[in-house]
Amino acid sequence: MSGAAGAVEDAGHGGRSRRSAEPGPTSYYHRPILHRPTWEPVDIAGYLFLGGLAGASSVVAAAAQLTDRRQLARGAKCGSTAAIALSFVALVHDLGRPARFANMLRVFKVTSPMNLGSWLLSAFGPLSTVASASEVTGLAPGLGACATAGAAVLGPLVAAYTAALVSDTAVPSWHAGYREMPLVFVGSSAAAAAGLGLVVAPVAESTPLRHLGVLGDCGELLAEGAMWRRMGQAAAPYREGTAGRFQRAAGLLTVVGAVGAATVSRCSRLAAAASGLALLGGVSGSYEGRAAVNFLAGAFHPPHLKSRVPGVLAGLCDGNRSSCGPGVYLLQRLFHLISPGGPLSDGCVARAYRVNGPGLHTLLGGHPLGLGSRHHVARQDGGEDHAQPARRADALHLLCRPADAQRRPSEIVRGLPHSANPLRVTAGLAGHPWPSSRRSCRACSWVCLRAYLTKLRVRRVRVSALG
Amino acid sequence: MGSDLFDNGSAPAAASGYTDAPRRVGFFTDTSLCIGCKACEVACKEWNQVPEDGLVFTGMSYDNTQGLGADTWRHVAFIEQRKPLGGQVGGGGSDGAQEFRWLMSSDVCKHCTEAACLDVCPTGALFRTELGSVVVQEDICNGCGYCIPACPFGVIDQRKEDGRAWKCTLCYDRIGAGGEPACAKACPTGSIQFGLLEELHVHADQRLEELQASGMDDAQLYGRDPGDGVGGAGAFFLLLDEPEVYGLPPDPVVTTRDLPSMYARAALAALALGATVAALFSAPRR
Repeated sequence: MSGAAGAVEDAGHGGRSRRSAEPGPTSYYHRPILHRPTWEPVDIAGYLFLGGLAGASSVVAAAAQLTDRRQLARGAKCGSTAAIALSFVALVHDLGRPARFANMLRVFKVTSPMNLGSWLLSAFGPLSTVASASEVTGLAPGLGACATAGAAVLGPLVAAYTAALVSDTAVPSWHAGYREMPLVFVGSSAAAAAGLGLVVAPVAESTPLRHLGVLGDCGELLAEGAMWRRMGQAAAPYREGTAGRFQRAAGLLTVVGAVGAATVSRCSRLAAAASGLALLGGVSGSYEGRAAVNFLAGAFHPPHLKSRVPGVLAGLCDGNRSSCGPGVYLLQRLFHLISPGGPLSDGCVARAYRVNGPGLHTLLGGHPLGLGSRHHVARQDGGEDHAQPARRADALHLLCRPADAQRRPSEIVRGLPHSANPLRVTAGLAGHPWPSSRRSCRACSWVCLRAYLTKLRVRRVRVSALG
Repeated sequence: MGSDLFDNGSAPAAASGYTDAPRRVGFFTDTSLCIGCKACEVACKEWNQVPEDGLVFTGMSYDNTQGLGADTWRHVAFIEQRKPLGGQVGGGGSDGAQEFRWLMSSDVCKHCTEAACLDVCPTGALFRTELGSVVVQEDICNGCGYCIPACPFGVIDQRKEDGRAWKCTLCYDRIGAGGEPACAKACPTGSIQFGLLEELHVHADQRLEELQASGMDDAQLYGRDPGDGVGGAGAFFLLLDEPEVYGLPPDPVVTTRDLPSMYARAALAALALGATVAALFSAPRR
């Protein structure tokens, strides 16, 4: 008894001495409340830089093609494709389960910027690749032009959505800047694209790039200043330690690049390339700095933010309940039919959670607010699909061809061998059988697509068997 | 009209598309009854087969698990304070040197009405159950890690050796078979109470009145208010001090509340980029 009391006393003194410096409510043994993000600095900061570069470069490429700046168009297209390919590698590498990367596309979910970004990249990457392939090989110029235009439309979104991705978190230094961060990201991606252009294009073609570099830099710096002013205390980690050093180096390079772009770069190709490299370095440095804030030295959550600072700890939300506009609502209506199908048959969930009792409802498809989940409530005991017919019907008319709408996916896919499903393995769903998709949704275009791919695959297999 | 996308109201299961969802269940953790036995931690580990979470001695009172994480789904906090407990009369000198209270609290995933982890999950691995709880499907999760900085409570985390995100499931499997969660089943003092959330609310309000009447002025309910930043929690607490003392955020807000604004601003910025490039390139050449 006395021993226990002694232990309590000792621990009490230890705890008290650590906390005694702070008056009022304190933290729990100075432990941060939030978990540190698991994202790797090289992967994610590298992606932020490369994604921005690719997105803005695709716009530059299209503009250069329209204004007959051939070398710039070629360089920007190839740079964009290389950057987006590297981005893809970085993003997949950063996953805890890289083999399951395709799960990113198993739902369409507007509440997740990462999900929207995955869809965006899965459209942008092929377009950019086709554009640059056509440019380099000279084949199919019409297709190449279309792909260039498509990539130019999506490119700005690729450059800007990452701001929503980063700020849609509880980390104060990330969330608090959500108003200005898109401008910061877009400005720096414009500067990066201008830098790349200055490196690859001759002086005769680079006039707009010089202006773009200066404008991008000015936009970035102004927006960043406004962001930090608004963030107040939450901006402190950007100025301290490793992150601060990155930021200062980036700022210096940015200024050097902008001044070089504005002055000497019109004189010689070499000076232009140097300015371009400085711009690129400045942009990548500031991205690195931004990321280093959060990844290095645990600075993302300094102790002084743990006390009750109004708004800061809670992510500086202003508390007003925003509602989404008609556009988002339309997207929701359009896409809530896209369902995961395969992996989450109720049987699988039952196995996963060791549940066998009757009456268990299983939600197929993930997100509660989400698209794809609302009409996919399956009941285990009855084995019936309780999808809501009304919602299914309106989705049906929006996305499916009438002929497909009349056919159940089960009719399409029934009888095909499991191994004939090409997406099963790539989606990381190996081991999960088909039945849920056979059963669950007649309106689901995802399933229709899979059935179509399966048919193609089977036909090819049969042909090769005959041959 | 589309506001339901970012607002679950009071019935998250119904807002998620369940047409005949059962009534919402949850935890009420009455920390005034907690004796720090850690039976909840053990029961949770045993039932859910959660791996070992580090055998370390921290010196943080009797707390060696330190906090919730991928391998700690129930965590008992121990706080030692130089304060009297309620109306307790301290022995000894007038300087309060003998005054002491030991607060214990079993923390758990809050199963928020508006859950940020679930909102941001890009694969749909996190989902809302018909009971209103939030569960990770381990066969879907690809370890993107987005849920981890999104959670304002610091609950969900990545299991390093495994790559995926893990957290409390409110014992979805046990409830489905008519049981109650392992921690609540194992709690010897009734500190962890499991049941219908509405009934737990009524009970918690009564308990709070009792405690305040007995002199515990700092006693407060945490996560009880449906109007708070996460729309109220499915697992709420009766605390004897401020939330920060227990390592809980005082005013958590689900980050997706600002998402429509983020999207709008990103779209505007994207438009600005396109317009700037177009304007610069369409200028006549000198």
